Amino acid sequence: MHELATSEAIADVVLEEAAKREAKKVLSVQIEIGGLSFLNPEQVRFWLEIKFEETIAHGAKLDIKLIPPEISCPGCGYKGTLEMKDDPVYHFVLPSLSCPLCGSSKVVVEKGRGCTVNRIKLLCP
Amino acid sequence: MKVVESDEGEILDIELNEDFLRRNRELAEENRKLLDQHNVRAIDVMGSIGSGKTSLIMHLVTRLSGRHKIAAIAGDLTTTIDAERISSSGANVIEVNTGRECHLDANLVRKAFSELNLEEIDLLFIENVGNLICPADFPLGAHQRVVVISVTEGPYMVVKHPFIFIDADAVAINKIDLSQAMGVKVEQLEQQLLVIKPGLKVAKTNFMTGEGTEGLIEALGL
Repeated sequence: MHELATSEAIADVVLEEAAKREAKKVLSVQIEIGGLSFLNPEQVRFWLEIKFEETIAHGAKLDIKLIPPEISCPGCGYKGTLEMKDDPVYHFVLPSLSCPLCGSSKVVVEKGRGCTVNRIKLLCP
Repeated sequence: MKVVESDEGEILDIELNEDFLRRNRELAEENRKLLDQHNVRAIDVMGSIGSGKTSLIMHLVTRLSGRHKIAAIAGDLTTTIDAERISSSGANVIEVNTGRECHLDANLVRKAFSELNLEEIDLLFIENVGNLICPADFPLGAHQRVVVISVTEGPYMVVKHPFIFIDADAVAINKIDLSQAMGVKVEQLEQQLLVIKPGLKVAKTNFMTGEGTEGLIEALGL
């Protein structure tokens, strides 16, 4: 729901970086959105395309990836994806913040919270 | 930041690694430090519109004002209704109007701190904007997060919004007196919460009367 504000912040950082390097054009922007964040990649794309209109980033390739959440377990050393409990009755998948190996609930979320602009490609004169 | 020049010599591939949610997280950590310096425990209260966030705070203030010096920050879009209600229960309240924002963020809370005398309190409730989605992405620096849900939101609200509960320390299932009329099984909501977060503290409440407030106080260790 805060995709607009986030997209504005992304657009500002990309355009500032491009201006600093006197770029002619922004060719591509690579963004990673964590699966535990509440950002919808499609809406980020929608707003970014609007924010980039009439700028040197217009038409830039937007590579937006959703990163699956990862946890680690200090108890048994498990490192991997967050377990999703499937309930076919309702067609929903419940995330479960517990270790799939030892069942411990003292797990640490390692990945999946952020929203990161990883890299951008600029065309410079 | 790494700059890689391509073969053509005119395409710059720049590694930025700028995390937009990290800025808020860092600010939240600063808020936490400031609270710790003043020995203030802060509790972020989240939940949908009408679930009972304000009533929860009012009951906690009433029960705890004997042994704690309490203040509250009330986040709302434009009105002061919540702030006035909490104020009537005896806490010092700072109103934060977010205008159109759907959540409080660490920066707004920091601004509210400047209106409070942290020396004079030891417990701070932060009432987030009524929303189950956005506040989860914006930690405020509170020591604990409590989510209020109510049976009037229907039987599926937990499974539909699972991620808000991942960061919760306690959940109040509110309006339990209406569960039969709503056809909602409180135990089922509780079970679903415990699948999402094993060990989560759950209190069953009716904040019209105050029933279950003690259970929540215990769940939060207050």
